[in-house]
Amino acid sequence: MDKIRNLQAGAREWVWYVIAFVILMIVPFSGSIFWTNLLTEILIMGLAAMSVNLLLGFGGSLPFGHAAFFASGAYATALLIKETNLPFVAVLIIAPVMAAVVGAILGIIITRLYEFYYAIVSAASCMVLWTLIRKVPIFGGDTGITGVEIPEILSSIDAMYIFTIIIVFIVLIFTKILLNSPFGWIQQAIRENPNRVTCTGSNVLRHRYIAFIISSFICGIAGMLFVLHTQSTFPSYAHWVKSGDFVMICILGGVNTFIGPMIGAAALIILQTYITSLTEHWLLFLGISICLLVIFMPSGIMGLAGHLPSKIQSLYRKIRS
Amino acid sequence: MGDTFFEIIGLEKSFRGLKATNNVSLSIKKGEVCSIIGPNGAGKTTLFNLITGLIKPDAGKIYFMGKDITGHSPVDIVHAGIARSFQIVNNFPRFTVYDNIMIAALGYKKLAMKMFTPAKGIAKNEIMELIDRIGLAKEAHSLAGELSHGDQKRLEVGIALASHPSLLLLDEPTAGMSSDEKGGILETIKRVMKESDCTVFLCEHDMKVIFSVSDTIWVLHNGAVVTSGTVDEIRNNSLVKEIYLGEAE
Ligand SMILES: Nc1ncnc2c1ncn2[C@@H]1O[C@H](COP(=O)(O)OP(=O)(O)O)[C@@H](O)[C@H]1O
Ligand SMILES: [Mg+2]
Repeated sequence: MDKIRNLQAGAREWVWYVIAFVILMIVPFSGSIFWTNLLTEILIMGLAAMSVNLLLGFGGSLPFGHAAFFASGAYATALLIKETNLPFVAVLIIAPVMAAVVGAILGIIITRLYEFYYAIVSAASCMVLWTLIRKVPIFGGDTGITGVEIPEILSSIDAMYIFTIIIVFIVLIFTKILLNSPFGWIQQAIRENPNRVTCTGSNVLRHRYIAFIISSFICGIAGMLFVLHTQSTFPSYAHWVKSGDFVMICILGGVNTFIGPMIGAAALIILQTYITSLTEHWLLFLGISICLLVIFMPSGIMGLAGHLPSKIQSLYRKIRS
Repeated sequence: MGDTFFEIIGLEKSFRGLKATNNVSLSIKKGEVCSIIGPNGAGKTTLFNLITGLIKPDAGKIYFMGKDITGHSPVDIVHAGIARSFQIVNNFPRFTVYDNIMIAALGYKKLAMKMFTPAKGIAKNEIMELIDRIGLAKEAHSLAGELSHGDQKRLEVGIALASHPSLLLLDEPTAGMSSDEKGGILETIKRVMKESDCTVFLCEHDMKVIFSVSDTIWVLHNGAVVTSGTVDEIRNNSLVKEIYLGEAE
């Protein structure tokens, strides 16, 4: 029952973010290309998962179609860079806005639905987009779009990493402020009891719709960063399995915490990387590990972390007595 | 009709052939405590759902302060000045008492879309004062879902009051309470009435409760208004006794 209380940021929590930011900024100086690359990917996937968690953990919906917005951001970035002469800064703004526009269109239907229907229709609309991307010639068909050129300044692995951290942290701070605002509180109240929110004079439908658009915008930023990172984009970014990955990352990390999805992304990607190098049956082992994680940590890694201090305390008491 | 505070004319609602609200007409004067009594299943909650826009009537009109509010959305009706409590506790169980009231206050102030100021700073004193008035000051930072049933019913009234209603609908505010708790909440309701210039429309199946607070009473049976009058008139009405005979202990 006490889960909701920890959602609000105290001063102490901000200190943790500053520490995390500083530590992450130091990584490139360790000289490990492997870790710099891996962390870039973790931050981007974590950001996408956080956009999902805005609706999942904080909104009580089941968004199973966010690959649509990830892909929208990704393809918009690739096409804007390849097909237009727009300045890079303009691309950085227009690409997530395109994802938000797609969100605004799909959201008209999806945000009217609840639970199972919400999940199915969001997954289905994601598949419609996936089909479009494969069939409409400008999107490059099954081979996607490769060779997306990025500005000189971002061309090194370290520079791209630092750029990703800065963007991700800006979005995280924005999201945190949003969740503590009246908008964020009403959003969480809708998760708890939409009916009562209506009866206290706030428009639930409008709220869910706006939250959906904000979430697609953020997911679009993640898609954009991923293209800048890999310089290519593929139809699989829009596949519903990708949407499932985002949801799984949230559950793994803990949907009831703000930073959970980021932790979940780290866990999944690191697990993936190591298990792949150990065995060719890595998918099997990955699946089993995730099942075990979810069974033994139902509120995710962050949920376990939240209980750790009290667990240690009770252990300490047992030892003393 | 323009000078009537609140008026319902010929309201009808059927659920699969069952007439839950059958040609109900009634009116409420400003400042009074008006009550509906009726046994379980009489259609009291349905009537409240119709008034607050949660369900749409099949026929009939609802006027509030000279305006036709029939079929308006629940959100519009709250902002027009009608708020309600629910018979079955209906709060945000994993939020604190403070946060429950805050959600209602944000709704009243139309701040749901405000994105860049912390919600916790808004109307702090006002919220604490309201919590104090409903007698939950000590529980302000307890989770709503962990309160006793009686305290949750108090919170129910508090959430409704946070909408600053001119007309407050209370759906069985003492349902499921012990007789001690009943006395307490009735005192609270009377005090709130005096302090906050709102008219109360109350429904109950417990006649003792109704007789202790009401100015005017309407008797509902099988969805239709059977009779109405003052406490004394209703107390001595033979028809009312008959309706309640099955319920009398
Ligand atoms: N949503 C609904 N669907 C079908 N029947 C309903 C619904 N709401 C109420 N009813 C029926 O309408 C009648 C009146 O119910 P209600 O208004 O809850 O009575 P009361 O509040 O006086 O106990 C009951 O017979 C109930 O079963
Ligand atoms: Mg009822």
